[in-house]
Amino acid sequence: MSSFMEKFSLCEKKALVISPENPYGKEVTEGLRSAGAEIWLAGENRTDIECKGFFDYERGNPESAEKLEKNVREVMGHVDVVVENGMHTSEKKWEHPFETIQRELEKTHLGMMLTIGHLGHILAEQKNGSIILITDYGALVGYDVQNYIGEEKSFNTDFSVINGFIKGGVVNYARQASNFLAEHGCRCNAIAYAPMHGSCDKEFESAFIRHSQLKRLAYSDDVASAVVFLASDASSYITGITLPVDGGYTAK
Amino acid sequence: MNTFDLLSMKGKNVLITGGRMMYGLGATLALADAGANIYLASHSEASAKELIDELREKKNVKAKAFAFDLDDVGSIEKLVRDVTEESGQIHAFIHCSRIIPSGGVGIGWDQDFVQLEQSVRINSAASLYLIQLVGEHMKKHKCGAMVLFGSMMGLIAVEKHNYDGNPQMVPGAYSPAYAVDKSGLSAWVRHAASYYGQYGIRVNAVCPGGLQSERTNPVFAEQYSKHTLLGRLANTDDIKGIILLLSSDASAYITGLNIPVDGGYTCI
Repeated sequence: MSSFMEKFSLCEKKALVISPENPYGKEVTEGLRSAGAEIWLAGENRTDIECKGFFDYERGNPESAEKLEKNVREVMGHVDVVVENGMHTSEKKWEHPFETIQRELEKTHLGMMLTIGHLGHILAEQKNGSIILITDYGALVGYDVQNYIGEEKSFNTDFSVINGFIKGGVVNYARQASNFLAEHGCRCNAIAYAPMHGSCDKEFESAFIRHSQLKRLAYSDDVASAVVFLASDASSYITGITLPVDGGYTAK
Repeated sequence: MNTFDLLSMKGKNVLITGGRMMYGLGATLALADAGANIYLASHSEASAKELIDELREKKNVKAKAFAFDLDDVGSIEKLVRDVTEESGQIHAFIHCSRIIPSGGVGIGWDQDFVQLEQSVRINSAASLYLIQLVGEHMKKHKCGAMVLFGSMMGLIAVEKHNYDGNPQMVPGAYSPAYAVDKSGLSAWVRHAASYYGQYGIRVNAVCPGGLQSERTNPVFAEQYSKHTLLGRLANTDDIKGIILLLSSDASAYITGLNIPVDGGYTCI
């Protein structure tokens, strides 16, 4: 392997993926593993994803975040890559009672700030590390109602009042967090993925593809490549960005 | 149609939160100048009395204050119910109100949990809920304009050296909760514009930069101003034009936008 290609390697690096049970979690984790990283997971439910260790983690709970920081220090020793994959809501339809909106934002936004706030301490002390926040293309553009014609199920899934807010909060948090971390030699970026091949209804899929430039949805390799790039030293001068991985959907 | 007629708010009912001070006051006065009936959501009717009197006497518009607390779901529901009953229809909704979270001071990573939680629950969740209720009302009428207050700090990260010499300002500037809230709102404007478009409702945001006030620290003002293209902080007049444009029919074909009102700060 040439010296430049080695920069993409995550060999001897430890990666912690938070909330791997959400969309993109499996593909992100397998990508990091295939680049050589040792995989650790934290979330509310164990999945069948193979890992060196799993930490129970309740999103939005300050004690749980504190405990996660302690566990990472004591059990993992150090952490090179943190992937925050918690920006997901399964609430359907537009209107919701206040309690639902509050609960979902506490799981997502508050959870992200607590996760990164605590793990950021470890990265800052280590003086290295890369944080990657996973979101989707709704962070960059509105979902297009035309893509959902005839697909009430998908429409209701994406069009909850909370969804765009959750996805978008990541964008400037990545900038702000990169600002805190930079002086400690650490980086923070976000990735905005398009939906994955096979994850959507057929009608939605063809409508989305019609509006994309590369005329397909994301494959698992597309999801993996982006996260490996931002996790690795190949992106060592990149911080604070939101990288669209969407076949050009948001570029037109 | 005559441009001034498009910009006119005569006969239109506007619900505005946080419309009594700073940028919100600029927005209220601009809408009153254009002839709107002002429904002002404020901490208490008493605190709004002076402004309401001024609007009635000097601007000759209908104006009424409604006691409102963003930290109280019942109060949010009551506000929308009362204003829709009183006015019949809300044509434009300006949401400027937010709370400054209490709790201990923490910088960056160490922002106090109380602050994070309050910001998410009140500034983010309660605001979304309020906007959603107004949206439900506007859907029935198949028209409406929402103008929400984002921030320059939802678009870019903080420039550290603007705060050199003023460590007391750093905690506020470095609030991750503020960045997440305003960034979420900026994306939500596009999300909501997409959803509400089919009901004839427009959703836009203004993203203002730093506002000059009596309390503005002169060292900060100087350092900050150098990063703006126009060489100064904003004043309350600076918000008026864009608020009126986005609230009125003059922007009938504009939706889903975040408009920085920042003297060019975010464009370099």
